This record gives sequence, structure tokens and C-alpha cells, in this order.
Amino acid sequence: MKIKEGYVLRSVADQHLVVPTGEEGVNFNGIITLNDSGKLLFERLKKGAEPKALVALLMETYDVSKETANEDVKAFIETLKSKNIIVL
Amino acid sequence: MKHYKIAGILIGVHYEHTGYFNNNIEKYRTDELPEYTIDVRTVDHIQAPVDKPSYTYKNRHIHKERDKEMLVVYTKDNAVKIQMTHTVDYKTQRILLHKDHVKDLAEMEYVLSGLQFMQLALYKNRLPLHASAICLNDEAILFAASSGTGKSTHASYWQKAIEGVSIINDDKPLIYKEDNQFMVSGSPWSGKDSINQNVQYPLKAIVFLDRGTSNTVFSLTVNEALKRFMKDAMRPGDERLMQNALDLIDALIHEAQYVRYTVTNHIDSVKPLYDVLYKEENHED
Repeated sequence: MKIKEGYVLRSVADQHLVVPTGEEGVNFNGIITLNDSGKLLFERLKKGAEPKALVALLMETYDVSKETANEDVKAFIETLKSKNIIVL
Repeated sequence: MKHYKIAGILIGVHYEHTGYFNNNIEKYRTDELPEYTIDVRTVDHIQAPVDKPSYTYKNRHIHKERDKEMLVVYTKDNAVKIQMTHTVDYKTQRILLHKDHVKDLAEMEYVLSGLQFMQLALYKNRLPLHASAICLNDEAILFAASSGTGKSTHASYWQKAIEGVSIINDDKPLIYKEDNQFMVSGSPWSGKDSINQNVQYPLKAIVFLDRGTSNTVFSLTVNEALKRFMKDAMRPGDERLMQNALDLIDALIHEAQYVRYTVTNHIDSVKPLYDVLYKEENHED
């Protein structure tokens, strides 16, 4: 799975912002703010990644259990799906 | 094509209608050769592209190619009424207006050339902010707000209340960084009244205006400021331009002076803000 083209991720004033541009800006005029782990996952998903790799990334970076990482990744992907900014 | 220098950008502009540009853009004339061009033409036929658009939005079709982008606007009867093209490096920008399908050619020429110039400005790291910018003591103060809040009215109160205040740009001044300080520049594109000057001054402060029942100055947290900047700054459709806009907003949030000001519709609203902005200088006196 991968983030659609046209989403800019930029840290501004200590906030991680996701701003749509181009066609995505036409469809969705809002801004998404991410926490540190959300930013980490978003950056990986910009290049394309499967949930298994994202879980491993969270476990490696934050020293969390597999169960916690699984839940976090699942919730994050659901959020991206609900905003229609991810290609499965 | 005449040559102009606007916010330090060397640009050739061809326009055909004098309604908005007359006595306006000519004060930006230069002998220096342009690096960029905006060419606006009124024509009696615009050929519809054969290729499928990259994406569409209402009656607008966007065609993205490797070296250029094109926006085509159609009438209800599927005739092309406007075509805007720019190369990816913004060197060459062109606007075609259909003489029969565009209602107010002069206004459309002014608005669309302004839109293209603002994209170029962002490409050159100049942030268009929806604000009325005034000059006082060789510094710029920007009153930023949504349309209808009264930013032009508030700017006019400053002109009446304080001698020597002038308007830099009444709609979209450009903010950029030069020699480690923020500068504010006028441009010929300045809203329906075309009030602007060909000047550049260091930024004193950005004031985010809200209508209120009292004249009260509030400081803004970083997050509150971010929301205001994102609302009032131009949001471009291009990913690179958005990165440039966010870079400038980030720098402004960390380095510039900004406040929120709830304001009454009265000339008395000038003094409380003046006292806050010039408090330190007055103490030193």
C-alpha cells in the first residue's frame, strides 16, 4: 500500500502537517496533523509498504510490543482509508 | 512585451486591457531583461486539447505533461473559454481568453495574470498573504483576514490616524526573506481597487484581524498562528510551491512578530494596536 501522489508532508512549527495538492487538493481541502509515529509511518507509506513492515518499523523505533504496534498500524491505516489518501 | 521588476522578479508581461493595469503596473517598469513572461491574449478561437486530462474539477480540465501544465476551462456547451499554460520552471506562462465566452475580459485578464504571477512568486520563495499591508516609519505592518473582515477599512483608519502611513498592497502583499530579514513587497495585483506601490520594506508585524466588540490584542500560540497562516496564505496546487509556502510559514512562525487583534469598526481601533506594536520603542524614548 502507498500514499497517493500529491500529499506534502512537512513539519511546521513543531507540527507534522499533511497538505494535499493537485488533484488531491481539489478532492480534500483540509490539513491532517500527525504525531511522531504517524509521521514515521506516513514517510514509509509514501514510498510504499505493507502493514507487516510498518509494525516492524514501530517496534524497532519505539520499543513497543507487537500487539501495540499492530493496533497502532491498523488504526493509522483505517484513518488514511477513511480520508481516501491511500492506495491499497 | 514590456519589462517589469516586481518583488525583485524580472518579468515580461503582455496585457491587452487597461481597465485594471493602467497607472498600476507601469510603476514597476524596468530596463532589465525579463527572466519570466506572462502573455495574455484575447482570441476568437481556442483549440480544445485532444489528450485526456490528468484530472478534472467541475468545468476545469488539468493537463499535466513532463515540461508544462495546462488548465482548460469549458463553457456549458463544451467550448473552451480560458486556457492557461505554464512551463514547469514558470519561465513561460500564457493565458488565452475567448472574446465571446469570457464576460469581463479586463477583469479576467487581471485576476488570472495575478494568479499566474502569485504561483511564480511562490516558485521564487515569495509568500502571497491575504492581507492589507501598510508602511509606517519604513516598516511594513500586515493586516491579515478573510474577505469581508475589514482589513482594508482598518488600513484606511491607520492612514487617517497617523501621518505618513501609506498602503503597500491592499490584497496580497508578498513576504520574502532577504539578508536574514523578512521583507514585504507590493505588486500590481492588489484586489478590486488596485491599490499598491512598487516598494519593499522590512516586516514589522503581521496582525490577524477578527471583528469584535472591543479593540483587544492577543498573543497567539505557535499552533494558533499556524492555523491563521494556513488560512490566509495562498494554497497552491503544485507540490513544490506548497513546500516553499510551508517553508516560509515555518520561518515566519518562529521568527516574525504576529498578534491577533479583535477590532471594532472605528478609527479608535488604531491606538490600542499601535501602543502594543511600538511599546518598546516608546519606552526607549
